[in-house]
Amino acid sequence: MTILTFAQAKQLLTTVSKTVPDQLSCDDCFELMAEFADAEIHGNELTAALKAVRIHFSQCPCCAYEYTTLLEALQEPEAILK
Amino acid sequence: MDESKPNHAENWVQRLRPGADDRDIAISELRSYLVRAMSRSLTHRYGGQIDVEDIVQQAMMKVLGSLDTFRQQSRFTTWASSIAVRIGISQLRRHYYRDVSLDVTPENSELRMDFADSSPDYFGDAEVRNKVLTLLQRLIEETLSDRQRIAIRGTLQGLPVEEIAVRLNSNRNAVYKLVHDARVRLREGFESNGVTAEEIAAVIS
Repeated sequence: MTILTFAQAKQLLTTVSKTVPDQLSCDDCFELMAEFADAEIHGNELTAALKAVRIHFSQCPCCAYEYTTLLEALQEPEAILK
Repeated sequence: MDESKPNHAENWVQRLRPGADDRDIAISELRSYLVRAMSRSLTHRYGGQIDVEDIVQQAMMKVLGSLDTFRQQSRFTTWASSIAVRIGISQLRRHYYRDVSLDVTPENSELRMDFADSSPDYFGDAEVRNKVLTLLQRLIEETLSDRQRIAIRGTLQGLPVEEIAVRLNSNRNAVYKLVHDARVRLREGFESNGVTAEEIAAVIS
């Protein structure tokens, strides 16, 4: 048996209260992550598929963390490629 | 987009295909780019215990073996970076959480609230708090499966879903669905039992 502290119960309630339907799996999200990143970086309007990525990020901290990491990676100047 | 620029997606794919005139140069350029990008983004995460060159090598093999799956809906370097990030983060997580155990036996799937928890940070209505926590306890017991309770416990221990998947001999997609479905059941349980969003908000605020 595991005892939940009040802090853990609050954490669970917080995630439960923010839960919304999510059409994507983590792999689905990954397939669209690069496209989503470029769309956000360039301020392009999100397609329905890319809006689903944003919803998945709100539900999946793992994928959201990887996306944050990707954005940081993309700050690398591309001058090296010239 | 200027197709003469190296980062034009189609250009990259052509240059990286076997037999291309400057394939070796393209490989070297992409590897250099990824090493710099991953050094910047990975080495301060999860303790930074990572060999960037090794991660990039794994990513290069994946990229070169997956050129036909690149849909050209993003810049090529963004796509390649996303692959390297996923490989790198997975490796970092594996190392970082290697000593965190998660008892996955059904006998240890029970989750109980600590109602005696003094909760010094809680200044709200004790009656509302007890109502919400009592129902949460009941919903966990009555509506979640053993595996859902174990997975929820893992998330509350701070384990990423892919690490919970390793311990459950499952995969990331399945565990994410397990956890998400559990949250949906709990949310629906609160709604069907007449607990309002305001009451939950009062407890977690």
